[in-house]
Amino acid sequence: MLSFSLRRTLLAIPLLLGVATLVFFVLSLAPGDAASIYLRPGMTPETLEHIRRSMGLDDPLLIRYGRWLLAFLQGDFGYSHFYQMPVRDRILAALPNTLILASGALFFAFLIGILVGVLQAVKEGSFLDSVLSGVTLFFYSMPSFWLALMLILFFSLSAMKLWNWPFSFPVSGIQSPGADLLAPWDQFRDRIHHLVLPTLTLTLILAGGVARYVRTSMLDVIRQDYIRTARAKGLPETRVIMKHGLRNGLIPVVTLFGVYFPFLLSGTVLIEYVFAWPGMGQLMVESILRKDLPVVLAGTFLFGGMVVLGNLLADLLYGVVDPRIRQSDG
Amino acid sequence: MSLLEIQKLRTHIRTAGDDARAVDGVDLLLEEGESVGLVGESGSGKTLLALSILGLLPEGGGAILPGSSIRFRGEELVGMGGKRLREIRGGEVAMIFQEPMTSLNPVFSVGNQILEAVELHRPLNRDAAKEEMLRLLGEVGIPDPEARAGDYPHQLSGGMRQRAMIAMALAGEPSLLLADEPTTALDVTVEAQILQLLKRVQARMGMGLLLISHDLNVVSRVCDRILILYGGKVVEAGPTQKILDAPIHPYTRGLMGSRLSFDDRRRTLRPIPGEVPEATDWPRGCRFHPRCPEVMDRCRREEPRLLPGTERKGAVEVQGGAPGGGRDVRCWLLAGEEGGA
Amino acid sequence: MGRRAGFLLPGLPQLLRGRVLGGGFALFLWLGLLTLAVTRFDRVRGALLGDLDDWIALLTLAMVLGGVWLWSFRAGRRSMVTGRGSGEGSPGALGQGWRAFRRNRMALLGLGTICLFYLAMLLTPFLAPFEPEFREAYEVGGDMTRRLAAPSSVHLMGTDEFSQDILSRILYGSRISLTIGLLAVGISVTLGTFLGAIAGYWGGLVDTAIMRLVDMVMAFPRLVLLIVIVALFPTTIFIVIVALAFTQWPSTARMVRGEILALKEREFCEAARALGFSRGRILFRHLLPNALGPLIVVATLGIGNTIVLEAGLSFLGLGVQAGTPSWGSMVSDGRDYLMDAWWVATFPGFAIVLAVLAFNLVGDGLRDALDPRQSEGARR
Repeated sequence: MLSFSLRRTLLAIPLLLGVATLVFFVLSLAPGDAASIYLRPGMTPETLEHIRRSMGLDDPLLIRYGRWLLAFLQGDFGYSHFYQMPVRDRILAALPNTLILASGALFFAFLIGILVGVLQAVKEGSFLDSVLSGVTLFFYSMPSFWLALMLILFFSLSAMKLWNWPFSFPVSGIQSPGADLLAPWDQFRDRIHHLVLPTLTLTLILAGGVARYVRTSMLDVIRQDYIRTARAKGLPETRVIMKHGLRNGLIPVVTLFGVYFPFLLSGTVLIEYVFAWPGMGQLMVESILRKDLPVVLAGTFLFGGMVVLGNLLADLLYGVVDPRIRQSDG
Repeated sequence: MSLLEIQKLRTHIRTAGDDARAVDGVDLLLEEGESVGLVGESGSGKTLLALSILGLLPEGGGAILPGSSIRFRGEELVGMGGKRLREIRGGEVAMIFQEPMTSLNPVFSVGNQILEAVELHRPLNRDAAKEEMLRLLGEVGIPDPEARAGDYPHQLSGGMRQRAMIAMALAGEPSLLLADEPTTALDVTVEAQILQLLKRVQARMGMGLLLISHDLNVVSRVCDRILILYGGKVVEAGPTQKILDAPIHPYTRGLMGSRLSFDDRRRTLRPIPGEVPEATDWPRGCRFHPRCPEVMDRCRREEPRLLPGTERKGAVEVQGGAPGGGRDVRCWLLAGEEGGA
Repeated sequence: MGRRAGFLLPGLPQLLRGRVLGGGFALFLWLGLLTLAVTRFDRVRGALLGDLDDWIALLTLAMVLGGVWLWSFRAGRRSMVTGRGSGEGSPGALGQGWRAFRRNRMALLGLGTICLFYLAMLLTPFLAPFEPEFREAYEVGGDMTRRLAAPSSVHLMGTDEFSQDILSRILYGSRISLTIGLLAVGISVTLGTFLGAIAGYWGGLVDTAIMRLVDMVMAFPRLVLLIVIVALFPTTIFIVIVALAFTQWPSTARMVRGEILALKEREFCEAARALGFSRGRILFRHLLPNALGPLIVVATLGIGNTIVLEAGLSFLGLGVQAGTPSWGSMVSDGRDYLMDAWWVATFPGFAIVLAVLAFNLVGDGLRDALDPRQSEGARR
């Protein structure tokens, strides 16, 4: 088990380096460069050239790459020209918000998806199964940003007045204006309130796919011989399914975790944009629109890094849930 | 009261067209401590029969028809559900399957899986149950039970897996063990060991044993009595020795002819031509007639009944044969003079 | 009788023979298009003097009308002769797959929906009630009442903040969404198949190099990579398609490589090698056709996925440049008026969901029909 984990971890390192390299070269392919944001009307070409030189943009590509990589490895992601602060600080401020959103959605999506998928598999071919199949496919086919807008349409403050709902949820930002003045408990509640709609959107989008996958996986498992053995043993049906079935049915779902992680992060980009959630996704979109290249560079790498780590986590989890992998590798 | 009494069991599989009459009116009697063998080719309905007993038919894979009866110590199992059925499953009637690889759950250690059965059916506390689990592993001949208990199925050899399956079946101290082709997936040398083990534990625990196999050799080594199944019906039944010495039904003789054992390797192998027809589409008359070397006109028209074979006359009193008693055969060769009444 | 019925009304012979789905669809299509041609006759006539789009629409109209009629007539006649419908007995795995696919009602519904979507896209010049840039407010002398007008009989899906008809814009917008999806997946599947097959078949250093590249590209959330690429280059439709294809080929390559690796071990491949066939011949004539089933499934599901992604790009304002309506940017337009005019964002979103749903239904149906696991079971 230990050597298995170690090998997987070691494999992730060159991949991360490759990711960084890819990011750098894709960005250097782009026409125009970072100096162009200093371009002002009436600026002489000489001044621009001076800026370029002072930023080191005149050096050959490989030198710039080496310099950038070296700084990168030391945790120096450069300086954001727009925010006027080190990129690292700007990213460290945004990253936790994204992680909260993503982990919450991931948890609920897998929880709901697994429950629905198992239910469908147990009731295969029933009316309930067909209905749930339709519902999951519907959410699976939905663009996340549109679902977000639809949820706002129904659960925002104005919707509450329009439909006479007893409740509503905030649709923008991470906390209400002036929330800093509230008591800690109220402040916490305010934050949770702001989390509801973004998390719900992401959860619904992801849960559909998870449920579809779990259903297939469980249907496969339920037909296995060891399920019959468990029944022959005299186990109650719920334990047959929830212990013997689910434990096996979840093995491929762990792989799905790795597959869905990038999908989830793509989702956060759009969701953060819609809900003005101050996370990595929103930061990326804003920085791209402002041509704030150091932030884009670091942000892209960070997204890649999160995916690599997510896949690593899935690999390790795979070893935990499947004794066949665990034993054969260590 | 017999340990197991099956009457007119019909298990059909629903298909898009005609129902497949996989088990079509089987009677079987099994006394306490007796071992009975059920022999037939694949497609003869023997596995479905065994699954019917514990209500383990896969969903959409078969249904017991009304009018069938399976009684365990007088208690009707057909249509039974809920708690009582679960008590019987694994408790009073245990079952082992053909593929020990796929029949054990790959993600739990064998010790864990046996322990689960012990805890389910025995009033023991955690420690005592663990003790019992280790004893069972030793009982079925697994060396070093303490170490093997933590192993996962994929780490054990085929023979060891089947031993673990047997240990799991014994966990509830059953009075009847159903063994569905327990040695088919194993090497010949391992097969002998497993059969010996089955015989030993059966004798020691005084269990009834229903051993299902396609191999007459296997069954004859263990069982007191044998039922030959063809086309979902019993075609011949009787004490093992009598059947081996003087098979009556052409199908039984065919099975004897196509088996190969060490001492008769100089004899020619005489396989039965053709294969078992589809259960949706049994031939008219005797179901064996298209393959029978002694087929007569009548076999094509009328289906023979199961008759006591040794007397060659009189009505059938106990179908499936009385224990230790005579023979029953379903063939026109025997009842030619009766006119099919 | 069936023959004459087919001559008069396409789909009728099929309907009479109890083939409700095929016959009904043909009849519906034919009558619908005929109605369109009659009611919009002035536009159809005007199309003769129109631009390329008009000509394409005209051609589509003629071809589908004629095609449906011919199909129904000939299929009706053939089934009279042989007593069977068409398409039976086509050999091969794909033929079998098609027969299994035809039994799947939901998948057929998806296929029908896709056909209607593309048909609507091609016939947009005749179908759309208004020009995409038509701003009624200016036409009616600054009458601003048409601004954000609710759905009505004139504007079935309402109007946006520039008084533009939403339905018309959705129809014109389908060109971007549907074409980009198809083209990007076409490119990525071709590229992915080629590289995946080479990696799987040649192995060694080539395999390592290609697969490491695959790993790297797949290490990014697709949307993040997309917005970076699209934002860095001048946004043209060409860049958007290339970016979508570039971010998708790795998954296809990985899948094809896996298939090839599995197929390589099988007997028929050994046999082909033993017969002395060249590597290229074995790969392209013997191995790839066997990987076709999963490939079709991946491609179909990929189109749905790509449509969503393109919409996401447009929603962020990074897609095909504004002015050309695209479903994603239309949803984005409606975002600011969500509570005042729900229809602006809702209907284009519905179009996306419906199109993607249709592709996913077909993809699911294809997967069931060409089930790779089933063939794996047969292999065992």
